[in-house]
Amino acid sequence: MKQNSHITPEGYFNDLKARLHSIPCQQEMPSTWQRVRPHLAMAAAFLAIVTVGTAILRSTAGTPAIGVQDLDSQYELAGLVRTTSPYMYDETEFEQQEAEFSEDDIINYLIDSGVNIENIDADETND
Amino acid sequence: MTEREIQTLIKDGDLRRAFDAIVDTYSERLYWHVRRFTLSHEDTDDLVQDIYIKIWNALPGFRGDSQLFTWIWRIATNAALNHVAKTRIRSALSLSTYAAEADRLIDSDPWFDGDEAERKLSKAIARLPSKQRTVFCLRYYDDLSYEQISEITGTSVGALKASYHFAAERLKDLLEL
Repeated sequence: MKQNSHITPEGYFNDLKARLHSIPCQQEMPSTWQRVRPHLAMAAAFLAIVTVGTAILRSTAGTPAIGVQDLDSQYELAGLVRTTSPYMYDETEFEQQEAEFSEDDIINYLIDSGVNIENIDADETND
Repeated sequence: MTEREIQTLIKDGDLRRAFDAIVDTYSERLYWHVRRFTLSHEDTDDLVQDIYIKIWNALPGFRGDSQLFTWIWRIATNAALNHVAKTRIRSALSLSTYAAEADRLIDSDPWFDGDEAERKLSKAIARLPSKQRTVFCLRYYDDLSYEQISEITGTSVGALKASYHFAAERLKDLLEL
């Protein structure tokens, strides 16, 4: 080997060897726990995300469906429906239904339901 | 301890004793080999420690397919060439050249103990392409055979001889000989 044209600080190579000899201690193989720990941490983080996500979904799952009346209000607000009572549309049908029941029907109903005839007479008298 | 004895320790699984033997046997020579690439005592000190960490981590995988010496020198040479590559990139990013940076390192080195001819030679070697520089340093400074250099670099003996020839010619031009 050719002679070097460089020098080193005094005692450098003894110091270098001492530092190099300490490398195995610094580079010790990780224990089983140290190797498993990162995987456990990831599994725990995943579990936490799933648990929190499930809790959030469950807390919002019980929200009742929007009632028909609420829907009507929303449609009114949206200007989709005229602001009139929905029963206006069914008025004629309602009158027709009302006309189907005669006085006799009502009396028969009262008899069938066990109401005392004397009470019925009393009711007619009161009219 | 001889190389054969160290290989026996590795084979028997006594890696700690094998590593200590590698430190005692090769560290000083390895330092000078790396120094020819880094051109800096401080960078060499850091790099040698990195190289020995690599050696320690790779020691369980050493199968004895190659000589221990060439195996160690392969790790060291690759690390040194990586360092040169990083220096080249750093120089380019600062709008300089690697040659200029090498000159600066050589001229400002407080640990340089040679004459002017050796300073010029160091600067000229730093200007060689990486492969030629590697072959030249291993052949000229470390006195290695082409077969050993072939094991270290993974290049054929014929290609190495050609590289050495071109390196020598280039150095003659740079030194105006």
